[in-house]
Amino acid sequence: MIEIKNMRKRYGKHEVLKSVDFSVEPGEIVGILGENGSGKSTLLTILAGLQKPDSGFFNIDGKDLLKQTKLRNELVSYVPQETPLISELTAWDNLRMWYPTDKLKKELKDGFLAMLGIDQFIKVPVNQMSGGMKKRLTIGCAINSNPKLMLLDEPTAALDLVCKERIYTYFEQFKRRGGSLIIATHEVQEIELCDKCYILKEGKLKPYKYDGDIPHLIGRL
Amino acid sequence: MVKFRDYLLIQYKRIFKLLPGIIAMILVTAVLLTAAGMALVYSETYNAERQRYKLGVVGDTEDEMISLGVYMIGTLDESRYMIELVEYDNEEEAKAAMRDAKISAYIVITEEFSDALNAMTNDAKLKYYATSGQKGISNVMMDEIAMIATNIIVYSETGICTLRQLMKEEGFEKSVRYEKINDLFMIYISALITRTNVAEITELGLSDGLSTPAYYFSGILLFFMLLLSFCAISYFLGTKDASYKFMKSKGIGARSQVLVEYIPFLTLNVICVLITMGLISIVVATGVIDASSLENAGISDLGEIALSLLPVCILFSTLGFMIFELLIGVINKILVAFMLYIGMAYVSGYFYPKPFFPETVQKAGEIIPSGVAFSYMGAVLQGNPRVIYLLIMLGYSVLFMGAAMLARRQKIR
Repeated sequence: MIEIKNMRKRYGKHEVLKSVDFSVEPGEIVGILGENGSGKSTLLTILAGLQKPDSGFFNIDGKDLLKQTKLRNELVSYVPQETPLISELTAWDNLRMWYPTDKLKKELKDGFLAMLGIDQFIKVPVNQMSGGMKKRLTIGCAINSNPKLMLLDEPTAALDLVCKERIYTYFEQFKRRGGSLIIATHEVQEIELCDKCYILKEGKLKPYKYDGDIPHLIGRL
Repeated sequence: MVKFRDYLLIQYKRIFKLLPGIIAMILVTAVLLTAAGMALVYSETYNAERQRYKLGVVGDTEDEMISLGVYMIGTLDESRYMIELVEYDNEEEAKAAMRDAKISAYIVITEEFSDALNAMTNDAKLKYYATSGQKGISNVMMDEIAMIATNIIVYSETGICTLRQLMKEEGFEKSVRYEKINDLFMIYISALITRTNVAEITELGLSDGLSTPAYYFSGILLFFMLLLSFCAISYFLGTKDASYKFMKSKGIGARSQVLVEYIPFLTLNVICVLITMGLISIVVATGVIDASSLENAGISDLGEIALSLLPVCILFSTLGFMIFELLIGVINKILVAFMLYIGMAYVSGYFYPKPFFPETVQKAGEIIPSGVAFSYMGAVLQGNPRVIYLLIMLGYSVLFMGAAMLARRQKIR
């Protein structure tokens, strides 16, 4: 069980997050919706440990991850919106930084990395990869520690449909194995994938049930 | 959990992937600086600065007083270290010689001047001509030449002239007058020789007590080291804020990131400096550069100098790293860093001796990192390395690393 309680963050006079509370069950995908600048990325970066909240709790199975940073690095993975890969190096080199050689070979053969199709472009330098390849490789790098929670900031933005589908398939697999995902998104397909959604507006998180009515969604944002 | 070592190895791999491009840039920089250095060392201006200034003399030098003055300045007086007198039959010849830069200036000794001299009056003056627009050392030398030219005859021979005038007025025979004046000449010349013998001329050098070759060697080498970080600019272009955030989410914080990225960068710079010193050694061994002239300049053990350069390498690497970390955008990084390096090098006296700058600029030039490195190298070349410079450079390095880490932390947020 993942719990986020009373999360607050202020930049100067602007309060980006005003007492954000929500929980995520194991094997659940949670979507965070909101306008650009509403604070979605801020929320994810706080959970990823990139910045500290002014107050709040972030627990997984009762363990306070805001205090136990090593544990958080193992249990939580973060996939930023832009590619974090080292562009001069190959997929293998990028993965090798996060995986021991034996584990990497095994994952490429029949693990999550194979499921993401990374074995097909393992020798390609990042600067010669398509956007979809980069995103899959980024996810591959992020899941090295078998995390319980993945934080994804607009994971399939600007990707083609085939690539999106491949990534969604992976999300389903991750979910089936008991992993949880929090996705900051604007994509309708991703919203449809979520078990529950929240809209972040004026620093507050409100539950939202998407029923395919896009004008209604836009009105709520 | 990713380890510090894994990230370090990846950064080494990264920099070695970029190595061909970096080496190409380093070679271009080295060739350009070598060409500039050679042009400087073998230039006519440089050679001219090492020679005595040539001063043309036009007019009536038949007079015994004047011919004696010219002779003494050319051979006996201390001025002989600075000035070589060249006699011309007329002013046109002297003008042409000055236009062709064969002489720096000329004086015209008019008949009136000779007459005034013999009459013990100060009515007529020497006419002194020099080219305009001369800067730096030349300007200083021109003032010196003007002073010497006006003193050629007037002060040094006043006593002799007085004696000749008095003897004439007292009615002494011409032959007696010549004999006595000749005796006085001899005594005067003897005194002059004795006087110049007590003086020992020591060349103090161009700047910070460095000889001219040592000064240029130090300046060019340090400027090359400043530019080294430019050559590795591609190392700073491949990384993005998203990478820093991702690393942080994996447990590698700003401090570790900066440190891990800095170590390969420093390694590369150290290797480049060692290779450069190795190449200089080869050039010296093949005789292209005269080894004895380097030894005279205090550059005898290039291996030792290469080791002494390590603290400078650390300082300049941290400076470069900080600049590239603080600035955003390729153009910004290149432009600002280049302007900054040129400015720092100039103010610290890499291209021109510091005494030519105003006192406040000199002080600033000594305090900034490039100035401290220059002072340190100067002390090393004079065989007297000083710990204080090492400590200041270490302090600067720590400061720059701290600034780079703060900048990285801001990027992660």
